[in-house]
Amino acid sequence: MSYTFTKYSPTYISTHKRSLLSSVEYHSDVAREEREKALFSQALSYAQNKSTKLYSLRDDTKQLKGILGFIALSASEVIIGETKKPTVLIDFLFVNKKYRSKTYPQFSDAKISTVLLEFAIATALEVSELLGVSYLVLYPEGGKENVRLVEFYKMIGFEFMTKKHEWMYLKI
Amino acid sequence: MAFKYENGKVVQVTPPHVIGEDAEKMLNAKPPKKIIERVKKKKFVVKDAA
Repeated sequence: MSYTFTKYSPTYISTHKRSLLSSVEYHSDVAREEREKALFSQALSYAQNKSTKLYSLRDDTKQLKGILGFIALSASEVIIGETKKPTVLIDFLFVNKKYRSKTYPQFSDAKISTVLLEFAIATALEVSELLGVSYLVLYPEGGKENVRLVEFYKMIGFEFMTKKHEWMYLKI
Repeated sequence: MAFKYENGKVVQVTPPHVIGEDAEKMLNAKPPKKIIERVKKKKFVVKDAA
């Protein structure tokens, strides 16, 4: 494996929030940059104060410099019919602007977002053995109108939870 | 996402209560074999930030 994930404690985040926010490049469009920063800032607050766990991804071969992306995960539950099912929720997923939409040989020709999602699936599988987690769930950024993103999640194996086409799940 | 960006603000969102046909479909869903098998073969290295 040529990459490593870093886990951030609430204490670390509270003292390094600014440097984490400036550790990546954002979209070149000002409005989208503002949106991405606001969402990342919220994810940092969640990871600082709530049960959300924040991770970043780096390339051990050093061919890709700095932080490649972040993913924030939390334990949650969904109510299906009359039953509450424990889940792992993807609170936030972000790929450094420099490394978006490209595949890399050191990641088995996968995109950074795929590696982040695989990590989320691995975490959900690990937790499922302990807590009986059955689903990994997420809310696609931009909602169902973000067709490209929704198609990407579908390709991974996610499906919409309801006919409203908002939240998506992957069965673990 | 556990939140979305709407009208210049970050808004928290929570998973819906799934009922009826949707609930049935979700309860009977099968894990996507290909990616689950691929992920099970990988060992993800996680270090604490220092």
